[in-house]
Amino acid sequence: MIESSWEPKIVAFLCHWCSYAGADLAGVSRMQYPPNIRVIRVPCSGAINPLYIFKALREGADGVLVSGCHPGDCHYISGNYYARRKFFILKELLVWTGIEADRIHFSWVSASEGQKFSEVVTEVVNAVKPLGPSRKLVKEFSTNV
Amino acid sequence: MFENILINLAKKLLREKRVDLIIGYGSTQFSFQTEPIIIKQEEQSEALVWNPFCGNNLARYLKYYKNTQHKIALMVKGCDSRAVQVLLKEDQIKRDRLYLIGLSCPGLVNREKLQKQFPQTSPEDFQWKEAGWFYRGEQIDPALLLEDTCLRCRYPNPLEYDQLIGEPRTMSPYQIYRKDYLDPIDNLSPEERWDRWSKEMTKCIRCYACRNSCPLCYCQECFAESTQPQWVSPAPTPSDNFLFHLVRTMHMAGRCVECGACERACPVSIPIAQLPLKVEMIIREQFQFEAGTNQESVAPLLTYRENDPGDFIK
Amino acid sequence: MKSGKVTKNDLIQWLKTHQKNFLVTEKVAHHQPELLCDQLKEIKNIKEVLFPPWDKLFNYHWENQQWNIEDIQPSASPRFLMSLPCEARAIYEVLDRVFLQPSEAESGYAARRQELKLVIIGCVNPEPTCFCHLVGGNPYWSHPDALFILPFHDEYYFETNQPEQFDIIEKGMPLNKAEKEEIEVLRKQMEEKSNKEKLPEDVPQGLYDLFEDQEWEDLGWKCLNCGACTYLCPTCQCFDISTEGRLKGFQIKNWDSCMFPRFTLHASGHNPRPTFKERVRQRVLHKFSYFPLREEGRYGCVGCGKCIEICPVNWNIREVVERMVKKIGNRS
Repeated sequence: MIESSWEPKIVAFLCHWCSYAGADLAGVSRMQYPPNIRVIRVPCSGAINPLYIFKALREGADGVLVSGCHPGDCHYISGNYYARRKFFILKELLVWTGIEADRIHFSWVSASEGQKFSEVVTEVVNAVKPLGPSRKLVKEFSTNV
Repeated sequence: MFENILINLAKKLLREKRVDLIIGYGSTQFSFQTEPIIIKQEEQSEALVWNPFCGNNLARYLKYYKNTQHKIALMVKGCDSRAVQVLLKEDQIKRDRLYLIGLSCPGLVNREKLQKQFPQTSPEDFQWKEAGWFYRGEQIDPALLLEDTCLRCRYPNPLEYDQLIGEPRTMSPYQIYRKDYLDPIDNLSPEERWDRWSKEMTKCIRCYACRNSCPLCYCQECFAESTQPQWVSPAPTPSDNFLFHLVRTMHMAGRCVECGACERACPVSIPIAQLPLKVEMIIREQFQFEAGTNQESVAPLLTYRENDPGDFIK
Repeated sequence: MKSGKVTKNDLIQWLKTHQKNFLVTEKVAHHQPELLCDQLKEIKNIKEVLFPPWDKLFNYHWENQQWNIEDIQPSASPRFLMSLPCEARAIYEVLDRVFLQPSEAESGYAARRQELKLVIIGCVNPEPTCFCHLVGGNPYWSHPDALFILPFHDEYYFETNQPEQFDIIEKGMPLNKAEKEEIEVLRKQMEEKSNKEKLPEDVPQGLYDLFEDQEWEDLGWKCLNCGACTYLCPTCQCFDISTEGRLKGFQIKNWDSCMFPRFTLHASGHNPRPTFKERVRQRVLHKFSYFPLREEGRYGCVGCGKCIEICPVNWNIREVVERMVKKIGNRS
């Protein structure tokens, strides 16, 4: 099988208090993980409007990763609980409309889990790569050509 | 018969100054059609009607009166009363400013189905009795006549009202809740589902009739019209259309009352109500919540349980 | 003027030969379903062909310290378009007057318009929502440059000033005297079936004088301020220009609607049409007052009734105009 040279672009929404710190730890500890992600720091996973996820796909992201604190550890007490419910509904809706569910991933990564973060990113890139470049929801007139 | 009761009630409310205005349904110059009307004087009450073509969700007009002092009487069917309940919950209006004229609803007739299945008819040919719908004396399958969203109605009686016009309806066997309403889509493969939805989204012209006819879309500035930042392009490309509808569905999650006003408003006949309906089914199953039915329960996205489904999260 | 008749089969064959290049409006598909064949594409709104819902104007990119602009060729338009007289009138009387001005030269309209040939099929069954007579149209209306056809017994009567553009003419057969008289009678019948009177001459100015009238508030109350009427209207021509991309991208021209709340939002934040009352008033006055005052009495509405059919709250522009016109009568 010929390895294609295409690399997916993954947009990662990381919550400031846990996941972003976890990613930082992975970097400081020199852990190797695929360079495909572009990080956007948000205060809490509960602050993520489904709009942002769809907008990322529209602008050409091949995958989206949303990561927050573990349930019970949210800096804002319950933001990630609300996020869990929201993302559950979002996943079901995506599956139902035929958009590849494997393009959007969620994870709980705490500030000390640098290793887990690098594993999560690897998993996400490996899940998105076989799906090919995103075609659904991408705006028709691409300005990146 | 019911219209007389309705008109007399309206006159009384205005005469006794219990309300400043009444928002209800009136007839138009075309048969098989009604329009929303506003009544401020007693003699105008003669214009009120109640028939199976009263399709608009009148709770949509409450947003004009959020900050005024008017007392408003509103004609509400089952689904409309749920919408009013959600608006009350979300603090958009106070209950003491409303007088709800409840209507027990037999279902709304879809004009296209009517013209196709029963051409050359007049309103007198149809009768609704507790046993079902009758056309010239013969019982008919309601699927031939009613709006798709009405076929799976679960609340034909208004849940909150000050006076009920007509007898409360029981869920008679002819109009069972069609659980299988969305099965045809559930049974398709992902690629087929995508093709089906893409096709519908290509038809969309982004007129926002669906959003504007919804009583629960009351944002001062919709994300779709935002220019700083611009989330969707104003051009009705299929990807932007899909984005708009998916995000609107997510914004309605746990708030949609399944009245179907969006689908009836669509000028290009997209079955757009299926998206929020699917989300409401998911929410009903997983979180046991139905918008507008229980004023004590908390909205599903404003609460949580420790054991919420989370297997999809790594 | 060449006229005659063709058999239904010949007409259907002609449509089949050109079907890849032929568009039919939804109204025609509804009126004459027997003319449709598989590949004949149906469009909802006649203006889509000449003035599409979204249209790239040009590409640009930043290079060598300046903006570089590349023109885009307008996409090929089909050769033939079949519509009813009201929709065709929308092109000839309204859209052409707006978009064929010199200032609109760079839009794709002129290029597409030149290639397009219209086939107008006479309207034998007006809908209850139609009111073309009120605004100066009629079900027998045609333009000399177009091909006019009319179902006539089992055949189709045709007339045109440009027989070389429509090769169906070759199959045409002449009419005898009796048939010619019948066509006249049919024409009169068709004109009788719709409303008979055009709006009085003083309506455009009269409506303009009623600008401050209180009734606009009652008339506009139920309007949802969606854009359904404007987007399905064959004469509505408002558009928006937006830019996609940053250092590299393109400009799009897309449909806009005067019914949207932000249509007249100024950069200062002021909005001269803040509520439904102003916007509904504007829609009516634009079509029935401002446009005719500027364009020598031609109304900006062709009476096709599409807006009345699809309005979610059944707002009826004809009723509104008639109601306001009565007020003109009362005053004068």
